[in-house]
Parts: sequence; structure tokens; C-alpha cells
Amino acid sequence: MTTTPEADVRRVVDAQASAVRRGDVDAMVASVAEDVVSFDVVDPLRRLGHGSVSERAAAWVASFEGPITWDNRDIVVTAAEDVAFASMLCRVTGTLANGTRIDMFFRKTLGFQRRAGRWMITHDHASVPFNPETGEASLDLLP
Amino acid sequence: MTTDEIAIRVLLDQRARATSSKDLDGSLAPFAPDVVKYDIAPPLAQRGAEANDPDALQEWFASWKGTIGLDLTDVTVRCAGELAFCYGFLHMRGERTDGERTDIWIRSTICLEKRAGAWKIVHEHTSVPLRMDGSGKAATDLKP
Repeated sequence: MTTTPEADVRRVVDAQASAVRRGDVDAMVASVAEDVVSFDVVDPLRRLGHGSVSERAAAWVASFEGPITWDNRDIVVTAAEDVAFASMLCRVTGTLANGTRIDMFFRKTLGFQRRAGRWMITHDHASVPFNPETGEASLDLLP
Repeated sequence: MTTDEIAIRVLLDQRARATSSKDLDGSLAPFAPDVVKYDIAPPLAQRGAEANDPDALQEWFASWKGTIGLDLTDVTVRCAGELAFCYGFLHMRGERTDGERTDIWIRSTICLEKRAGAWKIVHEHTSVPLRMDGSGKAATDLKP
């Protein structure tokens, strides 16, 4: 099968989204590198390593009651031999265990390196903007 | 360190110094015309001319009294061929024209492409995290 670096990276992005929809934490972090540096939507400033990212992913999935919908849009993948990056807007909907209904967009940037022939996520930055006047995070923005 | 990594670090440093001294051209020069920007403040995303708007940048410069304290620290550069991504923390501080004092640590991710022999920023993502305490507030007081 012939393939391009862009298509391979895009497959990793799509597989992660589909893993979230299944609530499959192992699959969500299958392409996350051991030494990943992650800037998550929520605090702290930074998480280091696959273990910390997996723990957070498991807690996040467990905070939902029932299915999570995750859709990526405006995906831009730029890939070459051994380095790639991707940016996208993610929409997450679902109901939290405490009954709160979630329907929000956030931004995601992924940095990839090809290691032993596999595209691995070595950097992950996800966020919502915030209003500097009020200090409130902007959870209701639409693209 | 490779020549490309050095060139990228110089670009990041020059850009920070240009922004610090409110040099409009120097601040915008490293950006590709088709950049996709996820800024610290709304909207979710800005593209192309909207992201590179000199008037908006000038207005932001005007909200600071004097120069802007700006240090990009803890920078990692991942570079191969004609692509690179970098990330680190941006420490931004100074006095605003409304008398407020800003002192904030920001997460910064910058993606670059080498075009016609020169590195250009094609994507930038800056943010602070959301507090997990349910307050809906941004965590603007965290330090690395």
C-alpha cells in the first residue's frame, strides 16, 4: 500500500478521535510518546510523560456519564520525513457524571516525530481562549 | 545543535525582542501569509490576514506602558528537513496603560516551515490552562 506522511499522521488523528468516542483510553494514548510534553485544556501548565497523560485521559473519560462525542474540524496536517504537526478545532459533547451537559469547542495542536517507523505524538497542546478583562475561560465559542 | 535549529532559535529570539520593543514589522516578519493562529484571547482561531493584522497588534502594543517584558524559556525545538515545531513557556510582564500590572506565564507552541530557504511560522498556539476547580476561570497565576 502506498501512503504519504500526511495520510499516516491523519490516520493517527482520526484514530484518537474514534478512541474517545468509544471511551477506549488505551487507544486514545496508543500513539502518545513516552516522553510527551503535554499542555492540557485544564491545569497544571504542563504534564510530562505518557503515564501522566494516560492518567488524565482515564479521569477525563470517567468524568462522563454515557457516550462522549468528539469531532475534529479545520484539520491542517503538515508532514515530512520525520517531523509533522497538526492543528484542529475539536468539538466535545456529552453529559458529566454530575449531570452537567458539555458542548464546547477547543483548539488542539499535535507535534509528531517518526520513531522506529511509527508516528508518535511528542507534544500536545489543547486549550480554550480566555477573556483577559474578566479572567473567564471562553467555553462557548463557535468557529 | 543543527544549523536549522540555531536559525529557528534566533528567529524566536528576534521575534520576542521585536515584540518586546513594540517593533511592528519585526514582530510580523516571521509569520507566513497563511498562518493559523490560536491566540490566548478569543476568537478560537485566526487565519491569514486576520492573524497578521498590524492594526490589531498596534492596538495591543498601545495597551502597554513602555516596553513589554517577554521571555521565551524552556524551549524545545523538534526539527527535521524543512519542518519544525517548538514549544516552551512565555513569561510576559509589564505595566498596562490602564494602570494594571500583567505578570503571566503562557504555554507557547510554534510550528514552522522552511520556504524559499527561510523559516516561517505557519502555526502558533498560545494559552493558559482552565482551572479544574469548576470556577470557569483561566489559571493566570501558574509558574513552571
